[in-house]
Amino acid sequence: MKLAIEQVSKVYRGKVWALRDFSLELGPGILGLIGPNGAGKSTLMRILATITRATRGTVTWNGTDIARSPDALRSVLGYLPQDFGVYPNLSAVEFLEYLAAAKGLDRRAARLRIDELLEVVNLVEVRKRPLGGYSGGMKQRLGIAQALLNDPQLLIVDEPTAGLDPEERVRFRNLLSELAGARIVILSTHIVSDVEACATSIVLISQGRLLGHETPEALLRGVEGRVWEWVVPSAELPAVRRRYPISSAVHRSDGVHVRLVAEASPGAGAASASPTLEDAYLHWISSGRRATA
Amino acid sequence: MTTAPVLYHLARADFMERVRRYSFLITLALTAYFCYICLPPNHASYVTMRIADHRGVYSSACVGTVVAMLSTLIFSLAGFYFVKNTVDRDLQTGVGQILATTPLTKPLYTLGKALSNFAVLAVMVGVMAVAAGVMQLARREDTTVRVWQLLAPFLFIVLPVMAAVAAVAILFEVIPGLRGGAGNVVYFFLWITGLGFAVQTPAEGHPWRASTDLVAFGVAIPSFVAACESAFPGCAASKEFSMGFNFGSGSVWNLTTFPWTGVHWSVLIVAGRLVWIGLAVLVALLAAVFFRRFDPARESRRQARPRPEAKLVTEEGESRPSGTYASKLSPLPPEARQFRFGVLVRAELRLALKGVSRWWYAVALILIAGGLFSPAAISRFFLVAAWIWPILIWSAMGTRELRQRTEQLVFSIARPLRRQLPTCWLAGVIVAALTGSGTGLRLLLARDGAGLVAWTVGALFIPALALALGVWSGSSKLFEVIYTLLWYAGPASQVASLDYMGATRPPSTSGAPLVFLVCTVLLGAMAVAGRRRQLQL
Repeated sequence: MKLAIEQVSKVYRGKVWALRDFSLELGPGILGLIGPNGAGKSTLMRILATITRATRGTVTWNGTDIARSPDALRSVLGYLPQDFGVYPNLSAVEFLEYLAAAKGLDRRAARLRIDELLEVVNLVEVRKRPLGGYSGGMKQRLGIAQALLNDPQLLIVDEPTAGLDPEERVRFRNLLSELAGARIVILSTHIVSDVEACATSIVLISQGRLLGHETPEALLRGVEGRVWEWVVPSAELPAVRRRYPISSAVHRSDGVHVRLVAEASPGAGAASASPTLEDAYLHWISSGRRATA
Repeated sequence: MTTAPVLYHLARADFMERVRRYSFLITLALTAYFCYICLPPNHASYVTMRIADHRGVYSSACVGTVVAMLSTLIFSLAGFYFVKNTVDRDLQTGVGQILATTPLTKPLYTLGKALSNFAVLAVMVGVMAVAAGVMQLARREDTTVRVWQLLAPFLFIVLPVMAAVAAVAILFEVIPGLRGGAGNVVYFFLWITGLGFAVQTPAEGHPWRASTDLVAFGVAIPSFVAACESAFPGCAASKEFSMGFNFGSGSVWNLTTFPWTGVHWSVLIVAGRLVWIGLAVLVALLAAVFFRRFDPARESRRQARPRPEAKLVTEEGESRPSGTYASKLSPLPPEARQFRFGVLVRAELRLALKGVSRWWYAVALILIAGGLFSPAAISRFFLVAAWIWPILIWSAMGTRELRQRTEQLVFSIARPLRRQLPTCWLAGVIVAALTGSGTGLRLLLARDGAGLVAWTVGALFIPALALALGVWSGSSKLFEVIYTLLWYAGPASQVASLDYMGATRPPSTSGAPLVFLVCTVLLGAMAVAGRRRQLQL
């Protein structure tokens, strides 16, 4: 099972580059795709989900070009778009039955699968209610259920936890971890904690370019000794912000407790801190921006 | 901020949003082309204005008046459908909810939106006027362009009617029952009625009253007729006047021309035309009464009524203690992946019919029973009614995915061209077959082979038309307009050549079933090509 992205670029109208020469090779596991807003994550997701065609480059699924033969991938694909709609007059069961029929699932197996999925996404009690009355979080959970309908080999989820309450978010992360095994899961998000919880490898993307593809451990090692906690007077905070990428700043009675990423100690009193994935992300994104500038 | 600037900015923003689209440029190009075909050269295969065997010389006055009258005729219909989406856009984009939280009053909103609609239509009329001037020079019958004579008809005939159309479009958008496809169909019948009223109303009485008809027949025709009779004494000018695209029976028309100096735009005539602007303001203000400020709870009585199956379900209401969650998923066995065409057809049919009211089914049953139990001659009329009744079900075909934003889900499923598209069409065919089943059975019992063939072609043709237009336009509106026009011009008016369902007797002699069968195939290919484009294959 292999998904290969080779030199993929996407240019929208007005010569807006959403992706530039993006290359990546993926095997089973959970890939966390993180980057700031507008980095090109959703464009990449749509290309991989055969919704959008790349302007340049190729994407192959087990050696088959998905632009030429999209059905080779579609039959084993589960996709949760960032923004999607539902048919408001259908119930959750009817909506999933419709998509199961379109995905070519046997009726009896589809029914069992739908029952299981509704249980998993916690929609059993509202399974017969029209979707028009669902809240945003419930629609999102229904979206997760439809993506898993055909037990996909490639599962692409774009900002899956948007709109979910904290409990549902944790449940979804656990579900993703359980699902990963003999399949490729691509999780696109700008919420680093989602990736931190379940990704086996991480891709950092900014301004349409691949900044890095590492394991979480390697990413953390990359910022070892570069994360600092420093207490500064609040008047100096703007100057500190200009000089260093800051991952948190909390006002206390003795000043502002700042957590930042810097090659060397930023000043007197700064203490080295143990890095988190958020620090690593900040470091990569800010150094990526500097390199582009 | 005072009223005028608010009105200006509201209308301006909406106007800019609409005209800064490529589709608007295409609309303007089509508008200019429409002007071109409005002024055929002499000896062409059709005419657009004829008085007995004569027409006016293409002077500025004649060109301006003819194009203005034809524009009024067409734009009063097409213009409505073109601009009837501005409130909906605010609803879909969420801008409406932002506007609803501002101090903007309801009358100001509806007036501003009507003004924006009018501005869009006015630009199209402006293009038409410029194109008319160009056409006058191109036809070279009178090369002196008299600006006032050319523009006055657009100013006094077309623009006042466009103001009314702009306001009526807003009124239809804010009334829940008229907002969707039903409103499109209702407007068509209102337009037909208004047009019939304008044609039948004698151009007599007080000048201001005579000038209030939709197309200003009461203003222009008497003047044309007088000029014709003066040039050709004894001709049947007062009896034989036609306006519109008339192809006649011969190969070309040979009309002789007469000079015409145009309408004398007296104060009374202008006052009569301004009645339309007054009507526009009143309708826009009336729309404010129905406008609900994008409050979903007040959008329609049906939604607001507490129904157990439609109530908003809260997250808290259905969540359970985390300990009871099941999170294990069983693997799907390989034999479960078996695509069955029939299952998807059933799913598509359920999707198409979901949300349809019991009243709809009751009327459909009456139409089926009427078709089955009435005499053969009357049964066909039941078929005519039965095949306009599901128009809103058909018009959703091919557009549902974009409208409900499910395209990313549906289009990323395997073989959408070979599976989802044909099953969607087949669901539409089943709807046609079921609603027309009364007449169909009647034809079968009567062993009316020709009638059955025409009936079958009709059942295949309608969903193919809906699917093709839906896929290409991305909106249900185009099918609703074109199908209603075709239905009215063909089966409802008993015009055999346009009768796609065999409602005229005898249906086979016109060759229409064969023509519409070919059209069905072409429309099917068009739908596939359109969907391929959507899928970026």
